Amino acid sequence: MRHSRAMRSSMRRKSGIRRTRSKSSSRLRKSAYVLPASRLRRAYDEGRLAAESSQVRTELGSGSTPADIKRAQLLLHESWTRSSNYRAGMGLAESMLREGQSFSAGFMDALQLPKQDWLPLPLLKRAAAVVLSCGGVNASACLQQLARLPLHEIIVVMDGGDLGSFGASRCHPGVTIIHIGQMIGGDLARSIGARLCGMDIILFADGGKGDRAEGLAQLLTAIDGGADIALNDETERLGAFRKWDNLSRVKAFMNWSLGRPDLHANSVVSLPHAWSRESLLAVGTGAIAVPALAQQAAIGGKLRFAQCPCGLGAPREDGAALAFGDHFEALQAAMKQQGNRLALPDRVRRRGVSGGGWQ
Amino acid sequence: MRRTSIIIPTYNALELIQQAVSAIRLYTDESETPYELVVVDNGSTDGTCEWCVQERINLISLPGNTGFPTACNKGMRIASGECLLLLNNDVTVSRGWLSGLQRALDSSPEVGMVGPVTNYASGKQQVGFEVPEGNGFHGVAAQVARQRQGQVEPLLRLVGFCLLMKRELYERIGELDERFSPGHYEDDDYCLRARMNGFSLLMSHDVLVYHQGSASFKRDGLQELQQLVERNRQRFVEKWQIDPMIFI
Repeated sequence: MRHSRAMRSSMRRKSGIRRTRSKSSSRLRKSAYVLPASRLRRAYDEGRLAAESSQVRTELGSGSTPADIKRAQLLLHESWTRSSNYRAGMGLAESMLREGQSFSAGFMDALQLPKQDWLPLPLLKRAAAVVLSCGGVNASACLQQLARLPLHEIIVVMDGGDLGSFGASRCHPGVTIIHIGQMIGGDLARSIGARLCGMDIILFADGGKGDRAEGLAQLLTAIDGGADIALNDETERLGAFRKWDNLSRVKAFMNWSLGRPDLHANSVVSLPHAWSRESLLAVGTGAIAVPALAQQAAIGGKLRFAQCPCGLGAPREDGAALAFGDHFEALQAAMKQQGNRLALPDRVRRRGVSGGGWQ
Repeated sequence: MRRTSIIIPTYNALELIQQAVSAIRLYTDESETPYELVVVDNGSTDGTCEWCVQERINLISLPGNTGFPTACNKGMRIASGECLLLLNNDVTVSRGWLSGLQRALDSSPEVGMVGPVTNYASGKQQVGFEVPEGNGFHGVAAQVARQRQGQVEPLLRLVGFCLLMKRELYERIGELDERFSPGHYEDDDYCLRARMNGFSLLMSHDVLVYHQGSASFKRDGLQELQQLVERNRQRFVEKWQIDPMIFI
């Protein structure tokens, strides 16, 4: 007698037989993948070679001020971009990051400079970060992680006259700090930071969290590869819908209503995320100050979203109450443009007969 | 009422900036001419940033010295006023200064930029009479405001120590040219570009401000200053094939 699949697996479970399917064992193989030492060694040697090139030596000189170290980091990044085999559009693999670190070690050893915890990335465009540090938040941990990335500009936005918070950020060399006298909140701070920034890739980071550079790097490479907006994919972290918090449900509801169920609960309302310069200008730096409106405008403008598995923790629940109202506003704005039914026409009723819209 | 964003670049001049800001706070009527301050600090190490944070003044704290044009550009990017005013840190303003400048700016739609008269500036903005320092200055300024009320004169070039412009002009012609860093001739260049785009420049005879003059640059020595001025004059000539002296 042929048992059903369910019957067979329950019989197997009862008898204690455990059959490993080939799919799961290959999955196991991937997670236990160890980068061969030869590839790391090769990256190290390439780093040494790049540092020994005459171009690098003349550009770098012999100084060791913070400005010189920053220049070394950007030169390293340029050299790595040239010598890595990365092509735009590929996901940034763990192996690529590890090879970059080996390259960096070789580069710094050849120049006889102290080892740094840098994370070189193969980026063709110039990247910058805007760190939101309003409400007296200490951005030290965040700035430490950002210092590892090849960023041309790091802008911290803070408010309210908090000397401690200012001092903590000012300790980090090479950082531009915008201090606004009044309390403005994180949303308006995004808009101000975006206005100052002049780079092609803009990463918005939460100053109150020390998100790891490896995770943030995914967002930068996604924009470099051609995406307009790179979001941190929270789907796995959120899990089953019944366990979601209210803000995630509202974000997902808005994405669904605007015809993008594939975005789940991922949205520019949460940090961190990244924009390309063109898409930021298209949406407008004013709209960035109301993140839910920015999300609605980005979806309406058919911008290309990338959802990256950054492996970061939960975002801070700062100003969640305000966010609900913003989503309401954003949906109203969308309904004004597209009609009350948004992306969901009614194919059953004839609403026009009773004065309603869209069938 | 139109809001003015006052942008003040500074570098290691805490006393000067304190003086400048206190004069602005004292002598600017907020109800008549609302304003916001934006101090752009070029990496000062004398406590300028900490003072600005304590005083709750909007501040851009840059990591190093980028010079006058770059600092102004950064300040203008985050400024939110309908009018933008570039101010040197060694300028002391007088009562009613901003209303007087705004009046001149609003006098006609073609007017793009306005500047005051002063004790020290190259060109026509320097007054012929003696201007005392300190408290005496304010008495003279009040007299000038009374006697020359409403008098304006079109010029071909305004000096950048105190320059009020419409946002429309900034959006049309863009930012200051950073090839003139650390400073000198970026104002000549900006004025020429403004006029080429159809804007006119006015000098307000009834607004007198006190200007110490090249305080930051003079600190590094007179010879270096002269070399810098000459180098930038050359850059202007290379860019435009025009001698900037013809506009002064």
